[in-house]
Amino acid sequence: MANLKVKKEMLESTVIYNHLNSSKKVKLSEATPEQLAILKELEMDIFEKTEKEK
Amino acid sequence: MKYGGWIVGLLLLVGMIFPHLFLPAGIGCATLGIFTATCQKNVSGASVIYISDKTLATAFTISATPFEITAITGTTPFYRVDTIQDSVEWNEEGARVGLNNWAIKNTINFDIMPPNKTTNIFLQSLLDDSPCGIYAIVLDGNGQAWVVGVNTVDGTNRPLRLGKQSHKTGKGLQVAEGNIIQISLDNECSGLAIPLNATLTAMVVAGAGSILKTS
Repeated sequence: MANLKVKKEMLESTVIYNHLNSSKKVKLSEATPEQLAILKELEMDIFEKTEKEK
Repeated sequence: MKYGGWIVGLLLLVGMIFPHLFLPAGIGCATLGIFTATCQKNVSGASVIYISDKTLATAFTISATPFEITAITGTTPFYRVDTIQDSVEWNEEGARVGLNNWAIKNTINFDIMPPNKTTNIFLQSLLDDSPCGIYAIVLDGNGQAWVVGVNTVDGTNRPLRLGKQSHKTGKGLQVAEGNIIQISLDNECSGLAIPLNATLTAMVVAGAGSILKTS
């Protein structure tokens, strides 16, 4: 699993998203790596760019 | 086990003094603060509606302060609906249930015309989307856009559904509602609808942007 880093200004935000047919809610500062991976799959613009992406 | 009773007693005492420590996030977590009035004119009515379904809008980002939606994920998830002028109406009614429970009922009404194959296709899409759930963006008279069908308590679990559809030809020419299709979306949920931030509201006002499908 890639080391996903949330943008500093987004850390206090909360994301509501659908996963496995139910609603999930997570505060970005408290998100687990698994949750961040799901948000990455949703193509959310909340992550710092990796060295590769830069 | 010798001190089991004391531990349970202590936990109960802490629970009584600090009940918020034992409540899930989203329940009773907002603290009372000063309400400062905004000195501006107030305008009733709603003018614009966009509709999405659960498969299209996949995530909503909500800022902590102020409490508003800052991003919606999905490929142009909200679709333009050309309604009849002054037919869009959003009602949000909260009511206490019993002593401590709370329920909020959202109803969005709008009219389209004329009855033909195009309106039929749109109606059929609402019927098909309804079991999964529908979200709506409503632009109110003050120029503030809101997402209805998502809230911070239920998340996306209590979206809008097609509640009613009505079409009457009317008798003769003097019937204002004659041959107008009246559509009603509704839900019952636990949380308030969420406003869009200034950037996303500007997209709705302009009718263009990454969250809207307009053509």
